[in-house]
Amino acid sequence: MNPSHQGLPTPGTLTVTDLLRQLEQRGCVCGSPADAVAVVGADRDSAPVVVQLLVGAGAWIACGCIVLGLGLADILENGAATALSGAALSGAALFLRRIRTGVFADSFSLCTGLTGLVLFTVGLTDLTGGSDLVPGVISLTLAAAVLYVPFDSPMFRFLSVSSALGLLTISMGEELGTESMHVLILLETLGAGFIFTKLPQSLFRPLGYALAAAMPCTLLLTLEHSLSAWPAAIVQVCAQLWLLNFALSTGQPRRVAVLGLSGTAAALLGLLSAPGILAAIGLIILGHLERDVLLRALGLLFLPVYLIAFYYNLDTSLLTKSGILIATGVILWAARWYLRERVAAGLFETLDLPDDPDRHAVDQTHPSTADRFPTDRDTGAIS
Amino acid sequence: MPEIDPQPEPDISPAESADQCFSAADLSADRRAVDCLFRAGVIDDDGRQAALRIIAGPVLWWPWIDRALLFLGLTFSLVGVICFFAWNWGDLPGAAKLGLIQCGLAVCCGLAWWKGLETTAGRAAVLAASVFVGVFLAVFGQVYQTGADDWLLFAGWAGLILPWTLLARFEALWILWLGIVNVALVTCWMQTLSRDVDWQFFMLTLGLVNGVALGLKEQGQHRGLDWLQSDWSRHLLAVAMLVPLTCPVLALVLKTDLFGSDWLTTLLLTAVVLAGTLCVTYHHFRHRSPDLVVLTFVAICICTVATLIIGRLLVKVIDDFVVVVLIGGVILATVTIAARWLLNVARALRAASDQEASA
Repeated sequence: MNPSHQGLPTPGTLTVTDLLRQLEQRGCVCGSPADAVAVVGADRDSAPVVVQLLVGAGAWIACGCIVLGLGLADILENGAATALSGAALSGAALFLRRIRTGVFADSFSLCTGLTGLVLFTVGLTDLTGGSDLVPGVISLTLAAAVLYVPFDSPMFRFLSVSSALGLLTISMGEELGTESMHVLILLETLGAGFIFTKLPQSLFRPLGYALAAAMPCTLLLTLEHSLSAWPAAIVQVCAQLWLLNFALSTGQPRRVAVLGLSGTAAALLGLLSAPGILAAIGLIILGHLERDVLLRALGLLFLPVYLIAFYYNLDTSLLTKSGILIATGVILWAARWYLRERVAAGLFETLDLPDDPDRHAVDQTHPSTADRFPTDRDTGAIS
Repeated sequence: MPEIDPQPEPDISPAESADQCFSAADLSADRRAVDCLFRAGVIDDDGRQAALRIIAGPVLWWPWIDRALLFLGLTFSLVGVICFFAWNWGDLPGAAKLGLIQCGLAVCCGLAWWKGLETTAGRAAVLAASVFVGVFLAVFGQVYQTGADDWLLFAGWAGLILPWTLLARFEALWILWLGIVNVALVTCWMQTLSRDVDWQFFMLTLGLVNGVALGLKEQGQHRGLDWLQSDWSRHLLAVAMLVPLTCPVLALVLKTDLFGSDWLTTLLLTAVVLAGTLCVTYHHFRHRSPDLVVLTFVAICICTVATLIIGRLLVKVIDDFVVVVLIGGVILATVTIAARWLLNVARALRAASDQEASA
């Protein structure tokens, strides 16, 4: 049996006690180790991320069926009654969440909460005439914000925020003016970057995931609406520069040469290719930096999507696209070649070249480098 | 895409706490444990970073940058090459087009030979050469207007790159090869076989082809082949196997009058194949090579089929829109049962892992 396939560590390597002992030696443990071990023991019963995704998807589809069924049966005709039912359902879901006793109560409360949110939004939209989406966006955002902290389900937090962002994006496309999407992209990029690099607390991570997932979707919609790409490109280049600066200077002196090179490459990529491609690469880097499989998967998912979208983009000829893409590839290869040369010349005296076994052996045993650079062996659950 | 469920503050009595401390002390330290300690305030952000470094080992940032730059550059360049030849430049003679592609192919082969197939650069070169073969065949058809069906292009492509796919021992290349085979099969069915062969039978074949690939990968992994140890390809192959096997069953459940029709034989056949595949998959990924993600895919298949059958029966019995609400309830119930089962499996797997860690 290979435990890494279950998102579990390799057996026989390290127990929680060993880990706490090592952390204590470094002065990193704030509380009592006995309490810490008890907390880990209690957490072992919580659901793995794939199961949570399954429950979340099931609850969301069930919510859709319930709302659709109620709508078809003409039960949602009175806006006030619908909004009140939504509020009552949300309250009931919150109560269920607090007293939950098992998987069924968990998924039932999640489905009830989502249904309440949707009914509340539909009801308020109906009360204001039902012709435009802005009241719906406001009510959904408000409801999601009010329930975010008390409803302590990460899946609910993620789905409610994503729904609000989705509706906001659609309303921007239809009513508020498509140009405002650039502001949304800026806010989503800033929000996701800030949460994943500055706020590691679990409370904010669902919000971070929602923003990180919404940002490339909004960028995709800008293609659909044939919006000018340069504002989004500037945002993405700036985000990339900030991310690279953060990644390359975490706990170590800044490497000006590397930073300069990375900055130039990012700026050229932003200038040449589509901003969505840069956003996907940014998500992959952020995922690696945060050792987060979901962010990396999101980036890897959107990269081919943007490449295909770029291929079918009608604004430029295939010859131009071909030139841009080949130039992008050459920039990345040039960056790689330059970095390898610098590594070989001793710029990073402790970095390992993957194809050089001697250097690799030195790096593996060099503690200062391990302290400076993030690692990439996590196959486990996501925080 | 949420995180691990942060459970409410554990309500532990002193006696329970002591018990739990005793048993939990031997739990394996993993990412989840670190996050849990961080959430509980036992370690701060610096402690979290230090703990992640301890559990993840001293693998460095540079190898990742190196590989990322290499493969991203390769992806962009290859898509650029495809765009260039898709543009079909009229002023460029056919021989020049083919010559350019052959030059690219020769450079890639030379690079692979020079660097060696065991290096990342050599593998990337073989991958690029494989794409160049496909581009060559496409441009050949474009220049000489052979009139051959599309599926022949993909079949020829898969056949031509098979030798170095076998030699390269590179998982991504195998996946690319299998993808080309899948496209060849789909286009072959669409262009030549669709009149004689039901799409249900075709999907069964496609699912079984991918299933065989998954079986071979598992066998290779079991034998300890280093280049077949990754999980992403396993998950991809599991999806590529289960989706084509499930679709015909779903379509036939929707189409068939469940109490007798012409489609019943086909439905039974597809259902038997799907059930057999699910049993084998469950047995392998539960007992021989545990993988919760693949088991989740199995659970999703079962939930989908069960929901559709129950929904179909409900629609037959209840002639009202309320049935849609009931179907929502059925979805919730099936998913909850599946989640409960998966949680039990996860606990069992984790207990086994903790036992091994403490040993």
